[in-house]
Amino acid sequence: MTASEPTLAGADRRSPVLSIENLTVELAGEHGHVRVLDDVNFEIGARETLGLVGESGSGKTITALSVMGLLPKSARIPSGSIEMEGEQIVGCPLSDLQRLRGSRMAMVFQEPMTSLNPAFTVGDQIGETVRRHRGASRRAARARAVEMLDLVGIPNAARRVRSYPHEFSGGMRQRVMMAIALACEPALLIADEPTTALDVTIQAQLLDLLRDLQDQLDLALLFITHDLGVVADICDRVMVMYAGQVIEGADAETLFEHPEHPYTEGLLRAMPHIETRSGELFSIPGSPPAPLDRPPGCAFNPRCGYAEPTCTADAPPLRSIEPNHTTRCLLAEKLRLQGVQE
Amino acid sequence: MTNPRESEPFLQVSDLSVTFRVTGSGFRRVPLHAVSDVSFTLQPGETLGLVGESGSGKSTTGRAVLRLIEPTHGSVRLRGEELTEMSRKELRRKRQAMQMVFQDPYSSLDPSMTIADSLAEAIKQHEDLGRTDVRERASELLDEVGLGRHHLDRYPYEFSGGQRQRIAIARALAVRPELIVCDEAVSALDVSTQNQIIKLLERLQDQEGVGYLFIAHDLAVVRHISDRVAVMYLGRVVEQGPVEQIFERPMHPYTNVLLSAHPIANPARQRGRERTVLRGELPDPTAPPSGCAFRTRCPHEFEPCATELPDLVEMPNGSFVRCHLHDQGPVLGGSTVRVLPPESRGDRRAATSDETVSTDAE
Repeated sequence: MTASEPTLAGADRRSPVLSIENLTVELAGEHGHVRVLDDVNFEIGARETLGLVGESGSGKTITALSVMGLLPKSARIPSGSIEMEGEQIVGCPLSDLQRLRGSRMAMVFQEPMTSLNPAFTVGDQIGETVRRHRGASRRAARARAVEMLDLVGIPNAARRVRSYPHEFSGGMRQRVMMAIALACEPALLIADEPTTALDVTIQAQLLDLLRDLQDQLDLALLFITHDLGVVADICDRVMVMYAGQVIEGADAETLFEHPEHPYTEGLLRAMPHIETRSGELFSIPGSPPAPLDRPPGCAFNPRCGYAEPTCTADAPPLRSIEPNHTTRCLLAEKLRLQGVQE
Repeated sequence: MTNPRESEPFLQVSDLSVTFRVTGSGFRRVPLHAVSDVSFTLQPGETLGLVGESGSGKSTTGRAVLRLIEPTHGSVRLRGEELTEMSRKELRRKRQAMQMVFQDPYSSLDPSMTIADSLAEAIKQHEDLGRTDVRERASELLDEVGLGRHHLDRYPYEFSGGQRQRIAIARALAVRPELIVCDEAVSALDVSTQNQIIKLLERLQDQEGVGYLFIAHDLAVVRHISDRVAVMYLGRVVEQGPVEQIFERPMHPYTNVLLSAHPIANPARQRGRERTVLRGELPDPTAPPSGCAFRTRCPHEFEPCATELPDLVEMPNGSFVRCHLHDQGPVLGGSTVRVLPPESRGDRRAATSDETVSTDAE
């Protein structure tokens, strides 16, 4: 494990692979532009896994799509910076993005079948990336495809390279997606709920594989999930998102054991466990606000059991409460929030 | 007439089997045994959890109980009446006692009907009421599932996923069912919404005494909601028993591996955990392994496993297990499989299964 110095500010380590500053994203809607991502900041270094956690609509996927330059046409980035290995992505020409995507940064999605082309063999699809970015010959691309299938643990790679996506199971398809994503040895892999559609047994295999690949390829990994169990398994650091904002960030153990935001505490309490049977399940009352009707002040205040009048006044900034631990809760020092035991 | 014994099972499923004909290799039609000899009972107010990987036959079992898929063989008795022999017409009447809630409520609600109309349709199946009474009953149902009656004249698209699932549940409740089959009913929801729905299901069970057949892949949810659990693998129940026993003292290697694969939301514990990772993927269901179907992925395979299909045997702790470790040879004879060393943890990266045939069984 390379959790040696999980620095949130990333101050004095090797320069980060990905660095995001003050990123804000707006989507055009019927009533003008709506802010869907608000002031997001983070860095990821080589061999590091950062987890983005939150419920649907919290802005996890928008963050990922901003990095890949894959935001929908209706989106705009009014402020902020995304640097991939020092190269600015916000506002850069499409040709630069196309060069970076696949070669320096890559992404795998929840449903591999929608990202694989059913009409081409997996070998062709892995080879395509290599031919495009490295100008490899057909023969070299095929050899690389076999090598990659082998790397991601698909048996009989030399033969399977001629198979079509439908001939693979869900777990195997996700391995194929990883082979495509990693064929040009990118520095950053974004995994957006890569195991959510899979059985737990297959999920465990894939998480092990990801860890292995990260070690071998020095990957920086941005892992998006709503499953706190998966976070506990694979992430070095975690950022919790709510209503388009990061509301807490820390290394994984600290965040689980000493949460500093009531929403994080709520998520942790709400998890049913396989080890013990809780009397009654806890659920956070209400539901997250729609982007158009964010409450004034802290976005979580209407659902928060600890809210005080100050919470509805000003929007709290993300601030450090301990070294490498940030929170957006005004009351964090006062509250004694419960984390997981041990 | 009241039932003399309250705890009498109202649902009795025996040797339920479903076989599909699917296209195998070389375009031949081959049988796929999606469900084989599944038996269980359900008492009023009780929840049976049904778990297993996709392709294990858990959804097919749920559907076959309601005869949404015709069982090939076996019996389903509801209050003593045999469902598998009923005519379509009788079944239609009887189905009112049995409802199903699916994973995606959007696909089970008619997008062109208001919530009031959707509910009215279901209410009229069950009760002969005038228009105002139907509307009153519909409002009651919405209240019951925690949605206000001001939602009555809205359309499905105006609701969030959690709200739609509440509506689907309200619709199921309209006919006052005894049994609700929940097929991944909370799987698509975020955790706080999921818990709200689970609490709703629990409350309704307390109030109305509904029995649930709760099909889910999330073991933590199943542990929370179930009284008893059946674990399925390739169409067969491999272990079945009281929820605490299944989770605390798993007897079947497959149960143990499933539990071990479920990540614990606690980094320190999850990372320090002894894990048995399952090798490979589900075998081709049209050509399942001989003997015990799990043996190709089992860390404890021994001699009889390839030749004999183990019986479902009762254990001292009240579980039923289909495994030769318990009925043959030196090995377990009723202790939990956790006492065995977790063998063959070897290369966890490689997937050992070779080909997987795509089927449309589930």
